[in-house]
Amino acid sequence: MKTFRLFIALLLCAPVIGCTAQPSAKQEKASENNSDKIEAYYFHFTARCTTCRTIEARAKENLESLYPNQFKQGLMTFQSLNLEEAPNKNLADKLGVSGQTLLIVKGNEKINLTNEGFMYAVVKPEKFKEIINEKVDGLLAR
Amino acid sequence: MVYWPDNRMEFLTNLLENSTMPWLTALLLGLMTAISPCPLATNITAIGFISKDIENRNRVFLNGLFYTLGRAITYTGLALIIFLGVDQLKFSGFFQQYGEKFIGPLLLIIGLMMLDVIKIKFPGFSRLTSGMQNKQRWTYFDAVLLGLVFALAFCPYSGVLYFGMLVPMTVTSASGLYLPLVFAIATGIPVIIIAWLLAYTVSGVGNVYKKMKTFELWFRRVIAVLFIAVGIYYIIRVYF
Repeated sequence: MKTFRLFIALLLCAPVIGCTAQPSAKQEKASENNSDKIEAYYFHFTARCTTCRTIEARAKENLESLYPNQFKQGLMTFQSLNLEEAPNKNLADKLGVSGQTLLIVKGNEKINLTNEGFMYAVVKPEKFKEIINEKVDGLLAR
Repeated sequence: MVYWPDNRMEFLTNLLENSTMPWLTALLLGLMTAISPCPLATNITAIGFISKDIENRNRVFLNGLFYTLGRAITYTGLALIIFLGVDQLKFSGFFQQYGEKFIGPLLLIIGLMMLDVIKIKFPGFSRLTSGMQNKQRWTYFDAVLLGLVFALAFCPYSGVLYFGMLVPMTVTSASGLYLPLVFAIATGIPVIIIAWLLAYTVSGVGNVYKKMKTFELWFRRVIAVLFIAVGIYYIIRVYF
C-alpha cells in the first residue's frame, strides 16, 4: 500500500513537476554530462494480450517522440524481449525480472513502470506519457 | 479480439487512483480482472458451469458462492506462500508463464469426459464427470474446485494485477491477508450475477422444462461443448 500511496502522490505532483522541469533543457544537459546509456526493456512471454501489446507500443512510441535525439545518438534504446527465449532469460535474471515487465535502466538504476503501464497505457495514454517523461527526465538528470 | 469499452475501465482506473483504502483497491483490482477481455473465456465457462442446475435459482447462486470460495482459496494461498517467504520473483514468474498453459488442455479433457468421450477417473472430478450418465448431481465441492483451478489460470493482464499490485499490498503485513479474499469476491461477483440472471430468466420461461427430462441432460451437453470450445481457444492462443 505504501508504494501505492507514493505512486498516487507522484501522480498528483506530476503536473507541477511537468511545468517547472523544462524537460528539453534538462535533457541536453544530461546527455552532455553523462554518457550512461538508457535502456528500456519490455519483457514478456510468448502468449500475449491486447493490453500488453498496447503498453509496449505506447512505451516505445512515447520514448521515441519524447527523446528523439537520444535515440538518434544511440543513447537510448528500446527492446522487446521474450522471457521464454534462453538468452533473454539471462538478462532478465541479471535485472531481477521474472514476469511481464516494463523496465527502464540506466547503469545501476532501474525504474519499473509495469503497473503504471497496465493502469494507464490503454485508458489514459496521455497520463502514461507524462509518467514516462517524468521518470526518464529524472534518470537523465542524475 | 474482444474489445472491452474503455470507459468502464477508465471509470475503475479513476476510482483506483483515488482509493486510499486497501480493501477498496483490492475490490477494484478484482473487478478490473473480472471484466478484462483476457480472463473472459474462463468466466464464460464458469457461468456455464455454475448455471448447470438451471432449474434451481438458489442452487445456481450457491454454486456461484462456492466457485468464488475456490478462487479465494487460490488467491489467499498464493499470497500466503509469498508472505511466508518464497522467492516472490521466481514464484510469480512461474505462474505468469505457465498459468495459461495448463488451462486449455484441462478444459478440453473435462469437456470430453463430460461427454463420455474419454473416461479417466481423477479424484475430485469423479462426480463432475460421471454426473452425465448416473444422473448424479454435481456437488458444491466441484464448484470450489473449478474456482480454485480457474484462479490459477493467470493470463498476462490478471497476472500483473494480482502479482504486481495486489500481492505487494497484501504481503507487507499479516493484516493485509484479507485482501486476496476481497479480490476473489470481486472477480466472482460478475460471474455470480450473470449466472443468476440466466437461471432467473430460464426458470421464468416456464415449467415446461421441468417436464422435459432430457432438458437437463442437453443443457449439460451444451456446457461440455462450451468447456471444449474454450479449451481449444486457450490451446490455440497459448501454443500456436
